[in-house]
Amino acid sequence: MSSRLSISIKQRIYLGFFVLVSLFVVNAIVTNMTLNTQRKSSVYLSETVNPSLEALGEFRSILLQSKMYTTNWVFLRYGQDDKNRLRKLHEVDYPVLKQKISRLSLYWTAPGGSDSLQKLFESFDELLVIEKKIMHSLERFSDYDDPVTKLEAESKIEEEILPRTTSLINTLSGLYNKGLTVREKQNTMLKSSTARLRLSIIVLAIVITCTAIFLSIYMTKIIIAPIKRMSSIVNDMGRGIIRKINYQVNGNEVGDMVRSINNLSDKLQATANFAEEVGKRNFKAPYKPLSSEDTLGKSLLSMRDNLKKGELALSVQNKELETKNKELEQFAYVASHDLQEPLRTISGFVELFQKRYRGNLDENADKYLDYIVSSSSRMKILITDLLEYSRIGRNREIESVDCNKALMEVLLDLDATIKETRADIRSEHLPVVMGYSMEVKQLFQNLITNAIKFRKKDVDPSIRISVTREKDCFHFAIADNGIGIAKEHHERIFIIFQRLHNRTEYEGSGIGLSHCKKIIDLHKGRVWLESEPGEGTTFNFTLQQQPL
Amino acid sequence: MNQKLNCILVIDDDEPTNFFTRIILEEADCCNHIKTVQSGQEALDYLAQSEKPGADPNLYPSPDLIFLDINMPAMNGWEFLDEYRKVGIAPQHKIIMVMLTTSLFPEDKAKAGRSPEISGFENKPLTLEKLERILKTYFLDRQLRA
Repeated sequence: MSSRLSISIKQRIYLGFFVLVSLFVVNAIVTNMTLNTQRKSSVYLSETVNPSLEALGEFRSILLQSKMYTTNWVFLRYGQDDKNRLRKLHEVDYPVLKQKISRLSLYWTAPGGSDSLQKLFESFDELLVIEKKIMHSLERFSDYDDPVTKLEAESKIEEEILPRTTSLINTLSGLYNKGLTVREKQNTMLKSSTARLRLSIIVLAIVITCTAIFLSIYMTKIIIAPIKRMSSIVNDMGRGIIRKINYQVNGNEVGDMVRSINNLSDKLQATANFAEEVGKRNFKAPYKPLSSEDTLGKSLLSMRDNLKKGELALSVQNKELETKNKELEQFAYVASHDLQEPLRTISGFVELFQKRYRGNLDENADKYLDYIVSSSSRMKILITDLLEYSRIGRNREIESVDCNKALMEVLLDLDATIKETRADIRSEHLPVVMGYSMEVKQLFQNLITNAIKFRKKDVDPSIRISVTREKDCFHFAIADNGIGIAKEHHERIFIIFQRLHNRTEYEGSGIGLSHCKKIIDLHKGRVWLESEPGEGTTFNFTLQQQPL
Repeated sequence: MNQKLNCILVIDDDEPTNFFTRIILEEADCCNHIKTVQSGQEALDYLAQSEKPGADPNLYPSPDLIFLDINMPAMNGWEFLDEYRKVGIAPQHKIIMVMLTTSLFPEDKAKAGRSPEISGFENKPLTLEKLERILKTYFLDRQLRA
């Protein structure tokens, strides 16, 4: 992770605000400075430049009046008012103005201004001295009568006053023009500074606006977009869909949040995986609660432990049951096997007895013998059946069994019976199933034998074998047109040695269907029947397609 | 049956069975001697005597046919066969051995089929029909020695 990326969002927001505030501050400073300069300029203009120009104007008029009244003094003997005005000009107006201009000139900035003003005052003072001389020479009316004095005064006017005044006015004009230039310059400066201020305000406003827009877009991008993604993922988690965020993880708060959510998602996934494994009874799957406060994780663990315990107890029980069952089977097997040995001897001797002594005893004895013979032969059948029943599935291997072949063999074995009863047996093409071949054959044999055995007395038996493929098994149906079975017996017929009919009516030990049931149980199939008395019977059973 | 066998040896632990078999054999009148023993060991002892060179043919007649039961205490039919091979009794003529048993186990029948010494497999009780079939199968062309 680069250092640039590890700036936190908090820092970025602060930085953004700092930039904006700085821009405002710069703006304020620039504006303030500009305004200050402008204020100084305008104060200078109003307090120095304009009064100076005004004063210089007054100075010019004093110059002109002075020239005019001096000339009048010489040529108009009775112009007493003008003489007074000239005196006032000399003694009051000029000193006041001089003082005023001198004060103003302290603030003048134009180079050489004060110097030329000083020279101007000096020249004017010299002029005033000449004027005073003229005034003095023509003090009284009588002085006018002296032609020399008057001529002298007139020539002074001609030669001194007029040219000097003209020269002074020219110098003053130069100075005035200089002041005008200064004023012009100040005005221009003011204008341009105002324009600059406006421009800088506009530029700063644009910069601030752009920065603000950029900052808000940037913040949206780095905060809102990932938050939206996270919110959708958290919503998904609420619906049980565990996803992770495919987002460039940065070192900021959003990155932390993404990592937290991904971490949550990982942990949830681990918990879910563990739950799934426990569901599959894989109790060895590793799992640790996420923390000491992880109620879900701890509950899962205790659930697993309980399941494991239950499973163990069940398996122990199962094993016990299996052992018991095996013992029982073994018992039936050994008992039936050992029982038949003495029984054979009994029936052998009884038959021998019957053969040798029949008719030599009384009638009752013959009858007793017959009963003994028939009973012992029935017992032989019972014991043989029991033995075979207990042998179903013993020491056999699961293999693929072609039911067509099994049926064919059964039909061959039953050939005599089929011919004798004129049974019509038809079958669809049968599938290959996984099972015990001997047992499958016996299943067909028992069901077909039954179907023939329990036929109607006056109707030839007709047997139809059909098969339908179901999801994971084959459903066989063996339908006959026999005497049928009442509904209340549908369950009973599968119990060993249960019979519905008298032996003299239908022979048999009553073990055939319990054989079938045991064989089908062994193949993890189902068996049931549809039948009504007099309506024939359909035996249904299923066999697995796949290995058991 | 005009050609009788010399001797038939019956091996079965059950005395009534032996008695019964003897009756059938006597009734069939197919041999000169009938010898019944009640254990495999007894049978081995008898054969040791009868097959010994220079044995007394009247005291220990050598059997032409042996009926052998499977389920016997101490030494069953199969163990008897093992011992019979082991002790190396060398009969001077071919002895036909037939399993006579109540066993309904197909395994037993299959095992009997695989044993070279065993010629036949019959279920008890022995009847005249079964005996006749055995004699016809194994002794039809046989010259009697006696």
